[in-house]
Amino acid sequence: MYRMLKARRDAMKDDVVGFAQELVRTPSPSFQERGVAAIVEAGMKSAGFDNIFTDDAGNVIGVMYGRENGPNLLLLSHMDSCPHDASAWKRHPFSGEISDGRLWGLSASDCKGGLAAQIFAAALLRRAILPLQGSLIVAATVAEEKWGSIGVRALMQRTLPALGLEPAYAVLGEPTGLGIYYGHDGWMEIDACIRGANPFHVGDAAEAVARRLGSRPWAAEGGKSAEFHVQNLSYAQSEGLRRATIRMARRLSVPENVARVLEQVKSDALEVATSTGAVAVDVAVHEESQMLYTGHTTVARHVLSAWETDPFCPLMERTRHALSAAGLEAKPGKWRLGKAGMGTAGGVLMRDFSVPAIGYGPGDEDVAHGPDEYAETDAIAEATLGTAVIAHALVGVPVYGWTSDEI
Amino acid sequence: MNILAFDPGRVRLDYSLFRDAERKPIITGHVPEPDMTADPADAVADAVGSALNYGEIGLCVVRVVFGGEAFKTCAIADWLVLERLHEMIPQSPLHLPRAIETVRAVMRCRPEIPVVLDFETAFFAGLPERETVYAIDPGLSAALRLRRYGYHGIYHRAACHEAAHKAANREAPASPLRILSICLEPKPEVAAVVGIRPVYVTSGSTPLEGLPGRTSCGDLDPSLPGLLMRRELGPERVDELLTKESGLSALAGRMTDLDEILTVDDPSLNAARDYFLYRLLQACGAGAAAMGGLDGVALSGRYRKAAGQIREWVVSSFAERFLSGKLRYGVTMLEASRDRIMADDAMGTAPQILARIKDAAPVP
Repeated sequence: MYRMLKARRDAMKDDVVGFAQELVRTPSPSFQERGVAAIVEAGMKSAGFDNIFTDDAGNVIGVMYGRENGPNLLLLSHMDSCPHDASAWKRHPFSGEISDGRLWGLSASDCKGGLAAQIFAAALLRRAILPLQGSLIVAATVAEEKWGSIGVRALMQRTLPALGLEPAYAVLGEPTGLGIYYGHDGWMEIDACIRGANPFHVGDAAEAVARRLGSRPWAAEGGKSAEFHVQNLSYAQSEGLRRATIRMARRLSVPENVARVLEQVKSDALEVATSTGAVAVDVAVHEESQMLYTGHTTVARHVLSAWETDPFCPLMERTRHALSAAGLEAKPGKWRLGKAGMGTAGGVLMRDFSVPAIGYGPGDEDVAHGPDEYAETDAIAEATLGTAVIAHALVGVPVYGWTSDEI
Repeated sequence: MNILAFDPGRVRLDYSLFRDAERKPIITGHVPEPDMTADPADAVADAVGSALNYGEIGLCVVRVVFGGEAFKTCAIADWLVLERLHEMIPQSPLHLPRAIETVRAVMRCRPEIPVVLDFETAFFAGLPERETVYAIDPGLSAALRLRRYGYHGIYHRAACHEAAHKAANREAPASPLRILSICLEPKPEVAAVVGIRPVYVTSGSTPLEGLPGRTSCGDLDPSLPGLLMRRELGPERVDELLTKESGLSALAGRMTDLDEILTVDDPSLNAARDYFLYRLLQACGAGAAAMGGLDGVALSGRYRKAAGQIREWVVSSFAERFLSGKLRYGVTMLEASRDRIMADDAMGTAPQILARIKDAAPVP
């Protein structure tokens, strides 16, 4: 079976790289994914999906139905690109140039190369006529590079239930360098709001709180030190009250709970603020209203949950076994999220919808969210095969005992 | 009448066009795997198109590796038949989807051509129960539809028929002939056949059981896969190991086949040759025991050079040593290729098929 899949992968390499190139050449900042969504939809049609659907959030979903109701596998990649500074790029961010074995351009790694690989992995299984037991769902989501993963939330809350599909596992096409990634730390943005009648008290309290929160070594659960950055301090006047808002970002570790972090921050801020005068302190997760390209509006909370799939859980084990059987590298790891704004929807899937998730994609985390981003073209083709192999191991009809060329 | 025979293998699609009972095909062709990246139906349509250059096609026949207990003879393709095959896909997940796809493609491009399905397992649908069961929980066997089949029924049936025909030309047998049928294909198979009924076969619930194949292990201690999986290999890797990296090639240390190991004098092939002949001897002994004796041996399959050696081995070694040389009807070698046999099978069922097709509903 694997030799057959490899032969077909080799034959479709130009197609999958060409498709990734087309995605890269189509600008798709968050909330403006319409153009790339149309390309994804056309790609899914060519791939032979049984059902292709664009939901009210603008996510494009392709389903290959299995013989039974489950288990179902969700292959998930986002269509939007992170903000970029074109002046820092030596190549045009949307050139989609292919040279030195690399596809260059914004989102090549994060994660249009992965999206192309996932769509073509499904095509590979379809063309190889390998039957599926559960359904294979490929979802290209919107608004992932902004806080809140509202595209994924819409997919999980409304779209998939309406289609009668409940994923048992998810594979993210985010950049993993073809490793099997099983989690990352999270981030949250907190607004600490200090109010009072006396502007001097409010100003003093806000400065003191910002100093305290910005300098204190914060102990995160699990014994590690949590990063904490004061991003902004602003003032406003309303209804006779002076109001100071401190925007802070804090790294989250896996065992941490957002509510408890807020309690901790509030307790500290209150202690410092009340010592400077009569002020009130409120602490909340920062929220913003976001309008998707479909016109749908929703409120996004600025929380990127930390998550971790048990490295010895069946999803990891089956994935590792299948890749290894196909002669592909199966190196486990975790995202480091070295640049601001990075993250995945794994936390939403794991924490909010209890769907075990891993990452497997052709991109490289180190070049994502930076100038001159690229993805190796061989890695895109390899991810196509690897994703097909993983999908078959998780939701395919087993082929144990059958050979492709002896009978 | 022209008959177009398809063998939809996983690695490539083979086809041959025959005119009536002529032994040699008018054309043969195959579409190799890398060319089948687009719609596999295109390959079928191309083959049909090529065949139509030689006149109208009266019948198409498609080799189907698995038909379960439902298909005991050839069948004419219709929507109901395809649906029943679709239900059986988990029992033959690599081959049945390709066969169904091939049949559908023929019906789409030339719906007026009757398509006959020739099942490899049909010959073994009537195996005695003692031969089909495994000594495990019957409930589990039933739930998973586990039972023994043979997977070279097309060859076995034709070879036994030929052996019986030759025997009848010599004398009318007083009782049904007891034939050992040895099919020399990449996955060799031995069947014991009394009259027209098989009573023993080396293969199992999948083709992996039985004699060692070119790259498949054949019979093993059932605990070994579990043991290998405990070594962190996982089921996929263990399956690859047992189906693609074992068998005669593993023993030889390189890719080889039956023709080579039985005809080439190369010390590196000794282990594979000795093992194969030993397992073949055991299978022949078991088959003879299942029949309560042996009247003749029938050889078939693609490995013709190997067949010559096996014929000699049967006469000089097996029959001489274990039957005191009394192999009443000797060894019959089936000359016909499988696609020719399939064409014969299709022609044999044509009258009934053509009568039935008038009433058959079209395939959606």
